[in-house]
Amino acid sequence: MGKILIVRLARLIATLFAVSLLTFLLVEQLPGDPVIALLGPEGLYDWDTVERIREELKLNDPTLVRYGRWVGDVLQGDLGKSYITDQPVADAIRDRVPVTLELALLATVIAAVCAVPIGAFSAYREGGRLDRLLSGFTTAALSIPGFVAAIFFIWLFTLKFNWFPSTGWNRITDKGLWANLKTAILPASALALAPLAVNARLIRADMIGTLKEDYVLSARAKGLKSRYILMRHALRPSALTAVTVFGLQLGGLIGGTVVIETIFALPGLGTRLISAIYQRDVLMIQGITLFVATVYVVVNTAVDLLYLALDPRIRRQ
Amino acid sequence: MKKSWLKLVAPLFVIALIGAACGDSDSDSSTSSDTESSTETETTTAAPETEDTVLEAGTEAEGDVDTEVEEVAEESSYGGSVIIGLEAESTGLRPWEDACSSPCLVMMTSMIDRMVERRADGTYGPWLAKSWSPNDDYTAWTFELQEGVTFHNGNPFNAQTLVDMFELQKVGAVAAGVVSAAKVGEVVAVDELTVKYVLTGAHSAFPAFLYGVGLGGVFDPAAANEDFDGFSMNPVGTGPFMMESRDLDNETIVVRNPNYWMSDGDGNQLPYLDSISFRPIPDEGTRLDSLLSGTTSMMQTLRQGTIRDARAAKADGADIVLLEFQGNNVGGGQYNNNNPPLDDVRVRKGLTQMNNQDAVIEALGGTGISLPGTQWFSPDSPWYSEKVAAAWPKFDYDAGKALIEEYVNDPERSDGKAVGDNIEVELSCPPDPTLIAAIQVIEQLWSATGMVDVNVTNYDQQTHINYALGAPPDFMGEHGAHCWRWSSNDDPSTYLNTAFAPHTLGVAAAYGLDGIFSPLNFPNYFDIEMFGWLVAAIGTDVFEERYALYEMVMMRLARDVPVWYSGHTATMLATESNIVGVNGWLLPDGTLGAGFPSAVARWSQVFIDG
Repeated sequence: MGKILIVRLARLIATLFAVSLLTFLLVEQLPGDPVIALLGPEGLYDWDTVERIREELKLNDPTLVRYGRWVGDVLQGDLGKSYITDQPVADAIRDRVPVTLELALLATVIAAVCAVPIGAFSAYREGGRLDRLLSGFTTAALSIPGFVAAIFFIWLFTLKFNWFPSTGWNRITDKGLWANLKTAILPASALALAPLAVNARLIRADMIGTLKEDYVLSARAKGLKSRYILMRHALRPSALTAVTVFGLQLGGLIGGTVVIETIFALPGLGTRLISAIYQRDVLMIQGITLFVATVYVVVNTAVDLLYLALDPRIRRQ
Repeated sequence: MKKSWLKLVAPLFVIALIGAACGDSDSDSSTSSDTESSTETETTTAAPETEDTVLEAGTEAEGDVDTEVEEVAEESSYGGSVIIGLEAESTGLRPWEDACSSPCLVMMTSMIDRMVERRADGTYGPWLAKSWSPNDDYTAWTFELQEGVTFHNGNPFNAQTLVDMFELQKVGAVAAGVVSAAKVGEVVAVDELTVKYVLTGAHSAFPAFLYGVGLGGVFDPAAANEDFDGFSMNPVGTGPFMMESRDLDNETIVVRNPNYWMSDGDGNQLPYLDSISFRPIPDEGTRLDSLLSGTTSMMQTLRQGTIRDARAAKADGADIVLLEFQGNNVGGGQYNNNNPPLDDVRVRKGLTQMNNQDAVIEALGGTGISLPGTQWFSPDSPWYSEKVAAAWPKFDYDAGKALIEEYVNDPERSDGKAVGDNIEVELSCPPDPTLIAAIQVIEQLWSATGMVDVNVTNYDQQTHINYALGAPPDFMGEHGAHCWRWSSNDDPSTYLNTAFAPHTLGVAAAYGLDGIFSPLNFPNYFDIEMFGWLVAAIGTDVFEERYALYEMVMMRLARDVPVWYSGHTATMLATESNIVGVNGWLLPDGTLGAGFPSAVARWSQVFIDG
């Protein structure tokens, strides 16, 4: 186990290094200048000031020199300051992680909670009318982009029913759990739609196989209730694929909240990342990308380890 | 089995949805205040009294909208809060350091007062500066300041404040450019409440620069020096509201300044509101939905398509007020006058005459909202000229095509191609859906001649600007035909003199104007005679003389066509129907203010009716 962890850690570091270098080089290739975003058109009239600011931000240094300086700072725990807002990147990430993380987790929970019964029930009624109906639902959920679902949810739950606010974010620490959920439930639901459908299908496919196993037939022969058989005997071995995908999805959701955060005007990492890209705020882009990549890699490492825990056969291998 | 599964699934959604829906509401925004305040009582005051003036804030548009600035008729009252949805988050709130466009100004001006304000008739009037006068040659301006003004932290505002501010402004990222354009050399405290701006050259419209927040936004220099970065999150001004909390990209809340220096016409201290919440909502659709659903009580937009949708919602019965403004800002684009074939006036004029303004405005969603532009000034502007409107080369496809044909068949054509070869034009706009639709219209019109190969490109806003700016030291830009917005509601000198100064040091030297050049001359167009008119216009304060000079400038643009126009930019503030005072605020001298230019509200006199 220890060896596995060391290998995983080495891969993690290598991945993060590659991601950060690639991001830096890609952003460098973009035309545009953070100083223009910083000054606005009027500020450009005084070119001495423009040049002074470029020097202060060390933007005139060669690309690799600036990258090397950034890596050195990161290794000392300093992600730098935003060119545009002067806010420390670490502070920006710290302020926004709770929003994005909560959205991703809530979406994962919604996806899991809904996918398990949908998948299991479809499998149990394989080929039946309800199975076809639920399969139709999952196909539709997969086909509808998250932003379309988001707009539909706003129309239905805000404009028609007025149940939830269409925009804004109530922080748990400021306004409590219910107020927070009120602002989180619509974006999280829109975000959950696609993973919900994928997971329901995976569970259904796995469970169809599981339900044909001898031990399930044996349980039925003993006269156990169907719900008991599904939940206690069939679900666990049918969940391996879904659990793996859940991990991938959680990482993906953290990066994938960008559009949803923009539509619902949420103060998450995605919103900040979009602004940073438009403003060529390189250090902010680097910091957020590094963070998202770290979470992605760590989550997937954890999922791999969970996989080992769930399936004794893999552990023995 | 079926029932047991339904029992399991159904409650999960119901609990999540209904449970969350029953939580504390955060959307009852506009009718009451959550803050404990002595002014939260039923105090009512008479509306500020003014002469019965009704002036156009922008061009009259069709439909059930309010485009006029007019005296407030309702009884004002204290208390309540407004939640406003903004187009974007402000990157910073330091007037001298952070670039501040419309959404930022909505927020900043709640806390930062300007030195001067603009009246509904387009002139400049008092705010923190009580009065002013120039010397004989307009190289020095003396300002008398309001008495008894203090900053949010209790520090006094006086002449020394402006001297100390200038130390930051002259090296400020944003303000340094304004200081250069305004030719400010020195700021001198004459006495406690008198300050003199000494210029390095004549400028008869200098007070216009103190209307802009870069130079005229008053902040506490002591607080700025104490915490330079922190000031961005917690600005200290003399404004009617003070920072309460700032959650970037989510919500910024400002609360009533109990010591605000200004009173209404009856002596009741301003402001009326207890607090304002600013929420950046970048998506146009959800910003409007937020207003219609009551999540917010007010919104701004700079998009004609959103104005169209808001009008439709109002027509469907939404209880909202639409405050539309259509000032001097005009959309369109610029030709890179330095690059063939756009260096030839026949090509520029031909392309412009083949550009169907009405079709472009329709593609932008502005039909019935935005008027076609013929110059940098809208028909309501005191600078507008009928003569220029008549002279501007309007849509005449055949005439435009003939000009292109003449160029194409000219053996001396500037692009060096063979006679009969098509010309190549790059047409570029930022990737906004309505802008893309608009340039598709232009592209089809130009391409249909069979003589123009149009290469359409879309870059994000920063790249778009950078592409036109070019690199030092020449700043020539590599653009071709490039979408752009022109003009503003400020004095013409504040933008025309930088827009058409020599575009390179070499051009300046060639005309004996050593050192005078502007990277902001994006079309790379310079006409020494026209530049002379621009300089002459800041050497006199006689309106008729200045009008004649700016008319000549616009006539020259109509002749040489370095830029083209689509329509005047319509902007809008939409509010719940009980929010009053956005379009009827007064200056300290009792004259009517400019209303809501470019969707920027002034907050001190806004109140909630009932």
